[in-house]
Amino acid sequence: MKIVGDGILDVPPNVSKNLHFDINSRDRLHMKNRERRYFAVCDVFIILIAVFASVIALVSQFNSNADALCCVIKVRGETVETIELSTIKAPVTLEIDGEMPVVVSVTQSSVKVESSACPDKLCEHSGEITRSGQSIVCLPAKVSVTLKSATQQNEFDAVVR
Amino acid sequence: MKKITTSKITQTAMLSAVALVLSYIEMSLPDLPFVLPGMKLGLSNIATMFALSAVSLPCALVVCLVKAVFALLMRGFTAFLMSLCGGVLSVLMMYLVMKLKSVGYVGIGVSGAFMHNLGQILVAFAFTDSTVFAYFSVLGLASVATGMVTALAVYIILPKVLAIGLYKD
Repeated sequence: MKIVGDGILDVPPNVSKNLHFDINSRDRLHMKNRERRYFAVCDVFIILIAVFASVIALVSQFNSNADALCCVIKVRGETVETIELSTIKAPVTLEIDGEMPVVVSVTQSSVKVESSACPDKLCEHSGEITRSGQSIVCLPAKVSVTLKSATQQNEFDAVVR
Repeated sequence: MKKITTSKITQTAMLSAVALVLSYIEMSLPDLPFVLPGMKLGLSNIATMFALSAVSLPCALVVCLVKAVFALLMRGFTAFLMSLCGGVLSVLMMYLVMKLKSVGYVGIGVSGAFMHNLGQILVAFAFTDSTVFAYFSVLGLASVATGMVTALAVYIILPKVLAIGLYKD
C-alpha cells in the first residue's frame, strides 16, 4: 500500500502497514522518507546561495546607480532641463535663463557652472559635481543644478551610499 | 500521465482552501514596523510545500493557480501575475530540490521562498525597471527566514497528517 501516491515522500510498503494507528511513527517515517531531516548539511549551501544572490543583486544595483546619472536644472524651483549624462556624446554647454544668465557645461561624467552673471560667483567656484545627490546652486540667479540617479527617483540610495 | 483520482482532486481542493485561508490570514496581519511593504511571511507557501510533499507536483501547481486567482480577485491583475509567476517558480524549484537526498526541509523551504520572491521581482521588473532588484536583495535575505518558518511548519505537520492516513490513495 502506498501512503502518498506519486509524491516525493513515497513510503516503502513495509513502513506503511502500521502507520494508521502509530502516532509516534514520525521519526520512523522520516528515516524512511529518504532520511530527510529538518536541517541537513546541503541546506547550508542553499542558504548561502540565496544570501549570495541577494548580495549580488544589491551590489550590482549600486554599481548601475553610480553609472546612470541624470542632471536636473531648475529655475525658481521649476525643472527646465533634464539630461541623462550617459546619453550625451560630447560636452554640452547650456545657457540657462534664470534671473541672470548662467552657463552650465555638462559632460559624460560631470556637470559644472561655466560662468554666471551673478555677483558672488559661488556657483562657479563650486566646481564640478560628479555624484548622485550633489548639487550646485546659484542663488542670485535662482538656478539649481542637481545630479540624480537616472534609474531611481527617490534619493535614499544616494544618502546611504 | 498518471490517473487523476477523486481522492487527489479532493486533496488538491482541500490544500487550495488551506492556502487561501493562510493568505487571507496573512493579509489581515498588521504591518510590522521594520518590515518593508511586500515583505511577507509567505504562510501560503506552507500549503504549496505540503501539497508537493504529500500529494504531487501537479497538485502543488494547481494550488498555486488557485492562490493566484484569489490574488486576482482580491488585489488585481498585477498581483495575479506576481502570485502565479512566484508560485510556479517556487514549486518547480522545490520539486527539483526535493529530488536531492541530502537536503533537509530547510533547504526546500528556503529555495521555495527564494524563488517565490524571484518570480515576483521578475514580474515587477517587467512592469517597472531594474531598480526592483535592489529590493530583491532585501527580499532574498528575508526569504531565508521565511523559508525556515515554512519548512518548520511542514516538518511538524506533514508526518502527523501522513500518520492519520489522510493522504493515502
